[in-house]
Amino acid sequence: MSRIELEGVWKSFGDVEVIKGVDIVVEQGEFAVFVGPSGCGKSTLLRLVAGLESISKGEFRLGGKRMNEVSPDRRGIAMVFQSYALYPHMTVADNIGFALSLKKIPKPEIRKRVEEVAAILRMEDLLARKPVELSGGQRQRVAIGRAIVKRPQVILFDEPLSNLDAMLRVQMRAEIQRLHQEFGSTIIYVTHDQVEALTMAQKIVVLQGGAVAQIGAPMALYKKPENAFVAQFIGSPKMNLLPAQIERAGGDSCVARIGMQAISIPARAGFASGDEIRIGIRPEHIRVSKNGQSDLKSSVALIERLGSETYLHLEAEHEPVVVRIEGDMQADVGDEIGIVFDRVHCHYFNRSGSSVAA
Amino acid sequence: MAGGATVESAASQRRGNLRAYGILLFISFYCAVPFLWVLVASFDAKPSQFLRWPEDVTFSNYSNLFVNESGMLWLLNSVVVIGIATIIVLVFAGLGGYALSRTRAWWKAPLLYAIILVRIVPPPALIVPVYKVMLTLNDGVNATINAVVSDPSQALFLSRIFSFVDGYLGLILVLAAMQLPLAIWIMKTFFDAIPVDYEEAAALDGASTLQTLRRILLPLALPGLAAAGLFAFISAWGDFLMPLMFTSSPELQTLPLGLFRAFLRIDRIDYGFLTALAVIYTLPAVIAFSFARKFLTRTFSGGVKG
Ligand SMILES: Nc1ncnc2c1ncn2[C@@H]1O[C@H](COP(=O)(O)OP(=O)(O)OP(=O)(O)O)[C@@H](O)[C@H]1O
Ligand SMILES: [Mg+2]
Repeated sequence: MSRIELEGVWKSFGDVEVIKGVDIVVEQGEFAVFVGPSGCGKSTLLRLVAGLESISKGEFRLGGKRMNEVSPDRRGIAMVFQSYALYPHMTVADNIGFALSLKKIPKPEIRKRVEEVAAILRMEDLLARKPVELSGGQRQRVAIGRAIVKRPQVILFDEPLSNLDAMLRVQMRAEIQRLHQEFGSTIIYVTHDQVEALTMAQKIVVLQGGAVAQIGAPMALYKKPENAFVAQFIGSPKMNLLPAQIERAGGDSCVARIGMQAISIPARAGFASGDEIRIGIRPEHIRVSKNGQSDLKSSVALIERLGSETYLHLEAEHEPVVVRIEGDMQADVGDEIGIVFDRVHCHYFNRSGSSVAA
Repeated sequence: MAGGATVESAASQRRGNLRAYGILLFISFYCAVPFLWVLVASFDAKPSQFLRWPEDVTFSNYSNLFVNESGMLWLLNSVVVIGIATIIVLVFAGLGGYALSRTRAWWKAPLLYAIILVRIVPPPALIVPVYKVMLTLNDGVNATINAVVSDPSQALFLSRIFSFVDGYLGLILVLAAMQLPLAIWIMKTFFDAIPVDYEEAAALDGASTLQTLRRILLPLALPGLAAAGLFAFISAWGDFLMPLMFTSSPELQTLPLGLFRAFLRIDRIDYGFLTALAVIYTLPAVIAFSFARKFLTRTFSGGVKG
């Protein structure tokens, strides 16, 4: 009933194209997260689904039915705004009950359902207050309450946690996931925080400049990024990308040159001598060589010690490389260090940034 | 030593304050005297040109105004005409201000300045063209009334209400038109400060345009409407030129005209009558202000973050 399909969707404001031909499917009951850097069109895409902006080209279907021309009040979609947008002249109870009161539901019934929602969100004692008397986290909960009271098939969240402190954010994240399990609504959740995306999503849609960079399950994006953008956007700290040139191709392995140093990499069908590529490897997949044998020689630029782990910021051939090490490590700034890449976890991207598959 | 210095400076500060308050009190009294005189004289059986406590406190000036003269008619005329004009101003300024605030059309700025231009032209400069237009419309209205209604007394009654010259409708429309520009600007600026998020949230809550207007926009716009309405009411209430231009029948006379004509009577100057009239003329404006004040100070916040 509430499968969301966006097919070849474009949106332009005047001459400015903001969404450029997007194809996305969110299954019924799925928790999808749209993630991408600021200004990539996440909010715009959400507003297209909500009906607050009109689609310039393409089609949006909800449960198989074309929705382009349906006005927002008839789509049966709820949205939690980036700004919360609580009605300032109404109490919390009236805010939550507003949608029900529009449907001419009798007052006692509205009261009952508002109290139910308040109990779920643990804010029974806030019902008589006005929005101005609430803290950020409490406003957030009211905004969610206002969305779920209608028992909508689809709930849209636009960066709902961006104004909360770190602790509250973790708590609210869990709360939203619990709500999803309880109600089974289809959810689209927008964020620019990839940690939020990885921890909450069943499906992640990575957006870049108004287009889809990749769609997939969190671990699929982490393990098999299809392009350099996704590779760097997903995962923290971000993946190292080292520019290299293929020196010799053919056979089982080929040789790539990073600056003045050579490194052997597995052969790929797409590689030819002279190709400019980028080698991608996550900080957690690089080791410090103990026996003098190494893929790359580098010098230490900065050491971050967090106790349980240590981040070495190295410089190899004028390129920054970050290495994650379990526990502590003895090293000083300026030390020469050899590093070893775990070949299984290496990614290779061609000049246009696409991943070169094995 | 240091303590003595502070005591001394505190004392001199108190002296300074005393002087300042003395001067302010004098200025305030000076400003208030005319109003006090009007108020006191209106209850005086034998009022003079000077402020003094009346020997006989009496309501005869008021009873004279309402019983012997047509004070009640003037008051009712004023209240009805200005009241309806204010309501018209509120409806059009509310809707127009909203539209002008939300539209992104290229003609937005030119139109806004064109609207305020109406207010920049001094009203007397507009008399001739406006009167000409109203006269033409008036001929049309009266021709229609005479064509539709055959009974002459009925026709006269309708003509009194719907005429553009020497009729209620004309006066109401002219007064409303004079107040509309400023009111539209006030409302446009006010709506600019109300985030569009509320309307979008209401739409997603399933509210139709009408429901959004009534349940969200109207309550949020109340302080703005109160300000715009108050300005319109007080300014129209004090307007003398338009009633003078567009009414001539005694039945249509409003308070400022009544006051003016009573002052011009050559046989006698009845200060008691004039001051009672002035008090009655002032009261509605004061009532309008105290009514609007409740809404003026009510502002909303906290609905959207950051
Ligand atoms: N009404 C509009 N008119 C013109 N351009 C717009 C409009 N709304 C958005 N844009 C542009 O569209 C682009 C995408 O905006 P959008 O708000 O969707 O970004 P976002 O991904 O939500 O960013 P953020 O993470 O900062 O919220 C931006 O470059 C923005 O300037
Ligand atoms: Mg946004």
